[in-house]
Amino acid sequence: MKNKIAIKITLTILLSFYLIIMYSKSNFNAEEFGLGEGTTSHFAASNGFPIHINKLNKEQCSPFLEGIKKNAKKKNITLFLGNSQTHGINQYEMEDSNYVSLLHNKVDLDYIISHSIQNASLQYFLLSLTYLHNKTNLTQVIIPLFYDDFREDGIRQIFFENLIEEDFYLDSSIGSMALELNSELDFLKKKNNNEETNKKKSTQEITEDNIESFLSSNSKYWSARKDIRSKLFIELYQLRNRAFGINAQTIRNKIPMIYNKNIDALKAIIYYCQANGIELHTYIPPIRNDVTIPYVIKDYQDFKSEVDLLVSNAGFSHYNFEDIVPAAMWGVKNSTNGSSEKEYDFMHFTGEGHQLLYSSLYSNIYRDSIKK
Amino acid sequence: MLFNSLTFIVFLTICVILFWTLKPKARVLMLFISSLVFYGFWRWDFVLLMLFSTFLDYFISLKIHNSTKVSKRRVLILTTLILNIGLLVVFKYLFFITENVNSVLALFTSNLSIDSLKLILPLGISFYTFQTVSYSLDVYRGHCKPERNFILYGAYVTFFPQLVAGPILRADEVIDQLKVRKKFSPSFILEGLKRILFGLFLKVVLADNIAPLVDEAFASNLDLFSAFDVLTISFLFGFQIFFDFAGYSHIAIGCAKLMGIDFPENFNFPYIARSFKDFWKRWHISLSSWIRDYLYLPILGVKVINKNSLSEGGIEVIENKKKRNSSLALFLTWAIMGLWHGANWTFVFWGVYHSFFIFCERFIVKSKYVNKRLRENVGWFIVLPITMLSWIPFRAESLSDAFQLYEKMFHIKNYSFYSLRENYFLIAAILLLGFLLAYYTFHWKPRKNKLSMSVRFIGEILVYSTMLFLVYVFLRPISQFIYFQF
Repeated sequence: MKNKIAIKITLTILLSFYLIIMYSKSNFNAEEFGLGEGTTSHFAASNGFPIHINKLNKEQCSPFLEGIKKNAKKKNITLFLGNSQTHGINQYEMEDSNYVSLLHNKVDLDYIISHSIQNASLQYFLLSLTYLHNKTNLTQVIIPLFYDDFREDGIRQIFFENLIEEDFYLDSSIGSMALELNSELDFLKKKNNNEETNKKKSTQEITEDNIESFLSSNSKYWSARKDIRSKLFIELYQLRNRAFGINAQTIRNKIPMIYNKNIDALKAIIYYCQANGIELHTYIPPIRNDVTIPYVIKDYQDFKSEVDLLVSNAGFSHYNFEDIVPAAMWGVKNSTNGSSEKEYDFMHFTGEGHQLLYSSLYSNIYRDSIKK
Repeated sequence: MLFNSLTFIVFLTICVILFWTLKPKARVLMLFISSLVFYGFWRWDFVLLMLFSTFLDYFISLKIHNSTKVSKRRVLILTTLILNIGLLVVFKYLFFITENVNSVLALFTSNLSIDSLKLILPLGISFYTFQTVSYSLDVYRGHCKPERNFILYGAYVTFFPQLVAGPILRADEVIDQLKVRKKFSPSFILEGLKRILFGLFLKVVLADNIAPLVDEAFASNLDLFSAFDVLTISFLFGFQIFFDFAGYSHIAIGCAKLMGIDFPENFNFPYIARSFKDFWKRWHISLSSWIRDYLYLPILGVKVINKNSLSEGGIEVIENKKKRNSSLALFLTWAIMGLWHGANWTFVFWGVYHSFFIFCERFIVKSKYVNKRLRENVGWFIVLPITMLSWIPFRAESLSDAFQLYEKMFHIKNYSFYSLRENYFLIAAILLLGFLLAYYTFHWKPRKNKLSMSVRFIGEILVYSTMLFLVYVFLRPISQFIYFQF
């Protein structure tokens, strides 16, 4: 009996050690995984300063704003907002640039900047627009209206650290959406403040930090825990997809609550641009058209009409670029269920695709200024 | 100190080594001191408050025991009750009371208001107050003799595994075990570690990962929720609070076991209950038995004569000819029990909600139309969703939010759409299935043949190694236990 227990304990410990070692081995980047294999992030810089950022935090935002201060004198400032399509280039090659970078180099009159977030939402765009307008005095903003982004909700703190640290709030005159986002920011701020307060007061926190930093600096298996957590969540996601047969082509239903919240955010963006004299351009972004798109077609059509009507009625320009990138310029990505099969990538296209989108944006948005 | 932290693991290791290497008398002193250190890691200044409460009941209980005069004994017990509950009221309810008084005053005059003072709630005050009060009442009732050794009594009240969130233990259950000179056995360590590992798994792997979903849902625009959404978030929060609190209880039981001390079970698969009475015999068992013995039965006018009262069981009616209105006692007890959980009307409502269904159940049990077999067959399908929905006011920011969510359940149009992401429904379903699977696996008795034994042997290795791996990966003191705030 005693031997049996000893064997059981030994095997249990050995097996868990094996799992820890196995999961610690592979280098894993959750953000790159989100983009999919074959797609590379590209955040451009100009004159040594970033013009395109991913996170509104000190590390990225400070040089970004510094660059605007130094290089954008006497220029109009145009902000491109977007999701991973904006910064992701499929089958990236050395000379490739994304459309923001291409426009930045082409347009002399404007200083073009961008903030793009993977799985963005219109709520993010509203936060980003108001924050950056406060910092830079924008003259123009260009926003792609992805149907996918109307399924996203909630504020991921990692992308908006500056707003929390600087006690930034949206102007309540924007309306109920501003109040809703302010309360979400408030929640994050309170959470942060509590953590801060505890750090100052509790012996537990001080001890915990010391043990944690000792273990992290002395054990690669301990410091790998964050990556293992991400990997485990990805495996759960893949398992779900395998179990329910979900892949990139599976129909993504409209989620009414989140959709409406994002429509309200779009309305708030329109209102904010009108109130602050910012020129707004929106567009339906390219989507691959050689296969059936993963949306309920009627919902997607309704969405396109609804946003067109909203933006156009407000006196701003709205374009449809959904068919400008041909099938050959779209790639494939790793399967979403962990198998070796490849799946269609409906979001990211190649450098050539970025060239096409750049041309369309340039000829449509800057057509008027060229004529002048 | 948080159980889900590295600090606690180091602290516990030192305590267990010291416990088994020291002489028995020194063990108790070590436990008392280490419990104060455990508490001090949160706030050293509040250690004195806890010591005051401990000393108060130690001193008064001795006086009660030594006094033969009924009137003097009454004065003494009233003194300790007023002081203990007074402290609880000052630290926990003062802000709530002043806010409500101000609201009432505002109805009559706009000039008059009382300054609201929001104090820091001392960790575990609700738990150690209940423990010391029950000790004094037991001595007063003659159910137990007072402990003359202050260190031993202090070690019982402040014993770190149960200090901040229970189980709420009776003096008999702990003091006698602390007095015994137990010999070391490897089975204490093995059993203790198994319970701690399981508790950490429930807390850091399950509860902490459900929490962001629940937080996000409750921060959404509740106006757009459907009935399915309301039911789903109530299930998710129901599982979160269960994993969180049951996790804490398992760790507490495991820590005590490492030192050869047995704690009673505090949870017994509550979501398997087929009646509300059954639920309260399975959920936070030590609290419901405390409430039964020291609140419900006295309100009912039933004299508690049980000399071996233990922190087990649920609230039951003891037939007594002299008893007062049992329904009134039921509602009053539950309202107080709700308020014990937190200084907010949401908790009072939660208590009254439960009492309402227990009240209804009493009629159904007596009804000739609903026999026992029918109740047992359909009970779970009725009790589970109602119990889960009871967590709505427990988690909602305000009563109006809770009512807004409940309202969704009563409109047929709210059953035709959903607003949450599909993952919410999937996770809630997986948790429910996992819970049922765990219940049946736990109660599965394998045949004594070689194959069944081997399956169990391998199964246990796989389960425990997976749990160990997951606890290693997810162990972070990112959130305290939900019941710490009560």
